[in-house]
Amino acid sequence: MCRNDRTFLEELTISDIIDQIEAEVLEAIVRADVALLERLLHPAFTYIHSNGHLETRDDLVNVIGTGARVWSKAVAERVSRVDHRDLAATLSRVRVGLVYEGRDYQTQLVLTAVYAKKDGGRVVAWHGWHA
Amino acid sequence: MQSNSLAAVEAADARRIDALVTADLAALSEGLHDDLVLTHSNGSHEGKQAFVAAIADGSRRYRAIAPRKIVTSIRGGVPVVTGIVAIKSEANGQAYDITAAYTAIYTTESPPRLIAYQASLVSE
Repeated sequence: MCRNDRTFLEELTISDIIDQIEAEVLEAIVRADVALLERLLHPAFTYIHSNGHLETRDDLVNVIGTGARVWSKAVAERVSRVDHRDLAATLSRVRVGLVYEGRDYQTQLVLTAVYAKKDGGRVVAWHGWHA
Repeated sequence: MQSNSLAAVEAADARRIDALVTADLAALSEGLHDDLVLTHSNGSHEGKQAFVAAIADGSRRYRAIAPRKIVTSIRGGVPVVTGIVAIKSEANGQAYDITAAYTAIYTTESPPRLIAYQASLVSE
């Protein structure tokens, strides 16, 4: 798929786009692919965690890029999705392998993710809760 | 596509908070999209109907909601509000006094309606 192909892009629905981006973002975090992560996250992206801490796109890219946060896996199971015009929001349960001090911990994230179709589709916000 | 100004989104979020505290069911329903995906700070989630019903039957009461820091933005055409609020509430007879951080997503119609929401307890 060529994400820069304007004609192709215009034929995509928001559902097609979010299915692709949801998987790509999680893969980018697991692979620590900061270039892909920067491309997929809107510049004003925010991620609010279970404790209320807010991360910007730069914050998230930095902790992934420096290895301060390492995910060994991330598998999403969709709970619900709402589509409205050029935005969509999903609620997913994400099983995350979190590596801390060399040990792999399993956790589950209840994650609201919000997507915009503009500019090829980007994630504009995450809000998570750790089970 | 109808585009919303920041002011319209800010006003919609303020109306939502007022409607919760006053238990104004008509205003609350009008401000919520039918397909709302709402996730509470304990990870539980519900839709518009269940959320409004809990306010209507009194099993959930919002006594006061005091905004501390609200930031509204339009990201790729999507209205997003992030905020921190102090909430005094009751659920099933139990009182709560909490500080919560939330992400609220509004539709790109006029007036904007809440379509996705999640909250977290703020550790202080």
